[in-house]
Parts: sequence; structure tokens; C-alpha cells
Amino acid sequence: MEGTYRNSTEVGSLGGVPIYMADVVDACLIGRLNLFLQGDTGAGKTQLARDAMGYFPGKNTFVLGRNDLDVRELFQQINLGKLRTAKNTGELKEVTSKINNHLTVVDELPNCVPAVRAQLFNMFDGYIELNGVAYPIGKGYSVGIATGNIGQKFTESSNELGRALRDRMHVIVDVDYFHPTPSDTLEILAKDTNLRVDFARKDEDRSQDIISRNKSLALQPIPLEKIIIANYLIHGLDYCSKGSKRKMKDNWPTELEDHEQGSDVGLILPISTRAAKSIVMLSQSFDQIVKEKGGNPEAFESMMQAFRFVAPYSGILNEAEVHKNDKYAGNHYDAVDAVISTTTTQFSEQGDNIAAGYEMVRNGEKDQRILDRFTKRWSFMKDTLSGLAKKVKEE
Amino acid sequence: MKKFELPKEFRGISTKEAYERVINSKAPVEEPLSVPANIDPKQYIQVPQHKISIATRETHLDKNMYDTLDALSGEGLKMPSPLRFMTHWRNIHQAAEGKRTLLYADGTPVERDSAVDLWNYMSSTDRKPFNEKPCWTWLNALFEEENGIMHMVTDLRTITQGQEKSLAGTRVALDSFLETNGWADLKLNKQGLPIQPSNNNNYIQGENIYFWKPVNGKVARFVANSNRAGLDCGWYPVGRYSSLGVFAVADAVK
Repeated sequence: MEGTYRNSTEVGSLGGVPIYMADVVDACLIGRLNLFLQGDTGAGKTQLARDAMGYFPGKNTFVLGRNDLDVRELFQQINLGKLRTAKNTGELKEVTSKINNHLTVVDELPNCVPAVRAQLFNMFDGYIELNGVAYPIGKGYSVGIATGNIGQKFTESSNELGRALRDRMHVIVDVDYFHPTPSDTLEILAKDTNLRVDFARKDEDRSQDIISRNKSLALQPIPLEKIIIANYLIHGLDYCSKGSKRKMKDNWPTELEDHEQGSDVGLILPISTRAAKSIVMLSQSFDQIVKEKGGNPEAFESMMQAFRFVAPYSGILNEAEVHKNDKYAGNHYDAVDAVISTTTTQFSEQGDNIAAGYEMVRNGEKDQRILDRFTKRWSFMKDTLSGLAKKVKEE
Repeated sequence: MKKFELPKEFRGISTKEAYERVINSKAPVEEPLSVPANIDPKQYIQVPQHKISIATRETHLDKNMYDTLDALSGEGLKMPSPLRFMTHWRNIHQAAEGKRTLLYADGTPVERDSAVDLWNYMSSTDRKPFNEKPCWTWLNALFEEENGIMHMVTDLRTITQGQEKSLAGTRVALDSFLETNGWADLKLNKQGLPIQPSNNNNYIQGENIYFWKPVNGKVARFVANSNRAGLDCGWYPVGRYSSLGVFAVADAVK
């Protein structure tokens, strides 16, 4: 991404290529993943979002979140003032279909009242909702970036805003953990002392490039390894001595066995299917960006990088453990890194069995000798491989 | 589902070579279970998924369900639940096909021929090798409907009050199950009941069974006769036949 934002802190690496915060934003745009940037005032969130708007000149909407902003004013801002005069659904559709808005940026989203927030989330997803009817906007591509400073505990289940963010934002990043380096801040300060975010500069329209990359990404086959990893995160992380963490509901993690309390079993819940889709899409986007930089991304590493950006604030971590355990000291990324470490070990140990499972699938026949290799947190592979073998046989 | 490409390697490991390695390595049977003192271990086969052993043939013939439960209890044995029995049934199928090695209760392996013989006993419509005797066992399940929700009572014991006998046990609401009588495939819910109909409208050994859906106040049995193999969840606890018995269950000794 080209723009005013400067941050050369490596937020990860993939295929031998470093990943920066700007790459995360690019990956979200290519993958059409809604992004929430959490962080302190002055951390550069708004500038980062502003730079993303530069890809879509004239096809973006910037909303400054205020608690007195109402839905009517919001619609007027995106040239939907005519909605009130539309006589029927057909006219409404005509008005909304003309909205060529690909990117919605909301600065300080938490300031908005829930009704406005809901419509903004809808706009991120490419529609507005009127009287229970969804009207598409954005002509097939729309995505949202929101910013806010709401503290680390916003993902706790009692927090209404936290729930809404978890439901509607695909990627939530706390930029405070990826602060610009001293040389970045030197460059920022040396350039000028303007305290305001630069909205005035002229941008080259790169919307078609982003949209076509998104379309090609959606058509690409997803490597089987990524599907297996996603299934591990959905089902493997669900395993515990009581059977299923999901089914334990509020009894997780307090009623786990002692030996599970200190492991990833007591640290993280399984991801949702929706989060799994976000991880796969973000991983695919990262791969594309890294390949363009000359890197050679590997599926497992790529999925773990994507998991690292989707999981920390998705509400699946044991918040009490993250805060009380000295290893994490409140750092969600350190906690997810611990889960990634265990996952890496798990996949290394199961390498032979998974490879053998692939061959069983190729043969198109269930083989109990292979399936029996998968027990406990790996039990999900029995059904996964059996289903794939059946599919191969049918084809 | 999008079409996926099946790689020939997983993280640098050749799938073909890994397959050979895995199938040629020792079968991953669970640790042998300790043998209960009161059974002939060669007459019981381990069901590793449930840490139990199940008898190779029915015993306690010609008793109704109440008397069968009483007799088993007196010998430290149990009646198999639908889940335990169906797990065992599928294990025997896989062993007969050479896809898994089962162990007798003493830890010695069940020979393939014995597994085939047992599989046929438990599933074939050709009953001649078995003197026309069906495979017929009581299963540890009583069904009770409450507020339109079907429950299963298991871990059953007989309660006797005067001349009256009744059943009591642990009650759970049934997970989703096939709610019509008919041919069912072998995908089972957590209580061991089929959840979806079979694509075939006739009996195909090892691929489907006939399922009689649960009926309030009735109990379960499994039968394989000259017509089909089936799981009946609408049977009368008072019924008794000379060929109806129970595949007794022995718990592993800790």
C-alpha cells in the first residue's frame, strides 16, 4: 500500500517475506474482509484507513463516528437522501443500485449508536436494510474498515459492542502491538508536523485492480491442507476430556481436568465456521501478496499467520487466563502464539498419518487402519477423510 | 464443495510412502483391557471405543427383558446399549473385511476367519450355517416420550413391586434420529440410533439395516434373520423366545 502511513514493524513473516501492517490492510481488501483497527489515539489507525481509501477515489465513504449521528444523516452522506421519496421497492432498488461505494471507512465506530452501527456493518457487507428488506450497494464488491479505541477487554461476552464487532468484523487488529519503529516515527516527524490525517491528496484509482484480485481469489481452489487446518481449528480445538468445549458452554474452562487447565485446551475455544472462512480467505490473500514480493508461502505457515490476525480478538480466548498468566500478561497475540506452537507440534506429529490419509482419499475407499490413527483431538479426521474418500469415489 | 486438488505430498511427506508405512505398521489397537474374572475371555471380544468386551454369542436365552437384566446383574455383566452394540457390530464388519484387528478379552487377536464367521452370524440372511437361528439380542434402552420429546432410558435395572416389574435407569433426551420406520444407513447418533434413511430400499449386508423407530414405553432389540438385520426400538419388554438372548457385556477391570 502506498500512502502516508509509515510502519516498518514486521507483524509477521511468510515464505521468507516480512508482512507489515499495510500488507494486512491490503490482504483484507483483496480478501474482502472487514477490518477493525483497535488502538490508542494517535497510533495511526485513521491514517492507515485513509490510505486504504486511496485505492477507491470517489468510490468510498468516510464516516466519523458521533453519538448524535442518525441513520437518516448517514444515508444522506452516501447520497441516499432520495430514499425517503422512493414510492416503492423498485424505486428503492434503483436508488441503491446507483451507489458505487466499495469501501466504507468509519473512524471511531464505538461512538455510533447501535442503529447506525448496524447500518454501517450492513454497508461493509454490501447492502443497506430498509423496513426489513436488504438493498445491495457497492456493485458486487464492498468492504469496511473501522477504527476505535475501546480497550483490551472489549471482546468479553458481556460487552454488547464487543459482540457486534465479533459478529460483523472478520479481522480485528490491536495496532498498539505493532507500533511504528523509531525510524518510522523519525520519518513521520521529519516530513511535517501536520497533526491532521491527510485527506486532501490525489489518488490513483486502483479499485478495478483490487476487485479483480478479489474475484480471482474467490475462484482459486483452496489447498486441501488449508481445509484440514481449518477443520482442526473448528473441531480439533473443540476436543477436551469432557468431550466438547462447545457443549460445556459456561462450564468451560472451569470444569476441565487440572492437566487441561494449563494447556491450549483451557486457553482457547474452537473457532466458528465463519472465522474459519475468514482465516482461509486471509491466508489466500497473504499468499498472493507474498508471491508478488517474491516469497514462497507454505500452506501451514500461511494459515497460522491468518489465524494470528483473526483469533486474538474473536472472543475465543480464555480472557482470565490471558490476563492472569505471566506468559501472556494480557497480550492476546502471545496467547495465540502459544496455541500456534501447540498446533505446529500437533501437525508435525500427525504428518505421516495425514499423508497416509490423503492416499486413502485418493484410493476412494475408507480404510479403518488409517482412520484408527486419528484419536482424541484428531478424531475429526475420521469423518473428514471418509467424506473426501466418498466424494472421490463418486467422482 | 469446490473441487480440490489432492497433493501427492503432505508437508514433504510422500502420501504413497506414508500410506505403506501406516498400513504395514502394527495395527493401532488400544491397550488390551484387563479381563474380568467371571468370563471366559475367548468368548468375549473387546470394544476399545467403550472399554468393554462383548460376548461372541447370545446367552440367557428365553428370558424376558426384566429377567435378563436380573440375571446379568447377578453375574456382574451388563446388557449392551444400542450404541455399544452397534459400535461392536461395525467393528466386526471391519474386522471381517480385514480393515481392523480386534482382540479377544484376553488380548489375543481375533482371526480373520472367526471375524467373518461372526459377521455373518450378526448380519447375514443366510441362516443355514447357524441352524436357522437368528441373531437376536435385547438392548439396554427403554424409550419414553415426554412433551413430544423422545427420551432413552439406559443403564436399566428391574424394579419389582409385588408381581409387577418395571424398568428404571438413566434418562437422556435423544439426539436427532430417523423418525420413520424403514431402511437406514449406518450413520448413528450419540445414542446409537440411525439418523438418515438408506439409499437402498432393500437389505444390503453391511450397508444398511432396517430401523423401527422408538415407541413410547417400548424397548430395543437387534435382530439379524433370514430377511434382514434390524434395530427395533418398539419391542415389548415382556416378550420371550427360545432364540432371543443377550450379547452380554463385561466391563474392563481397572
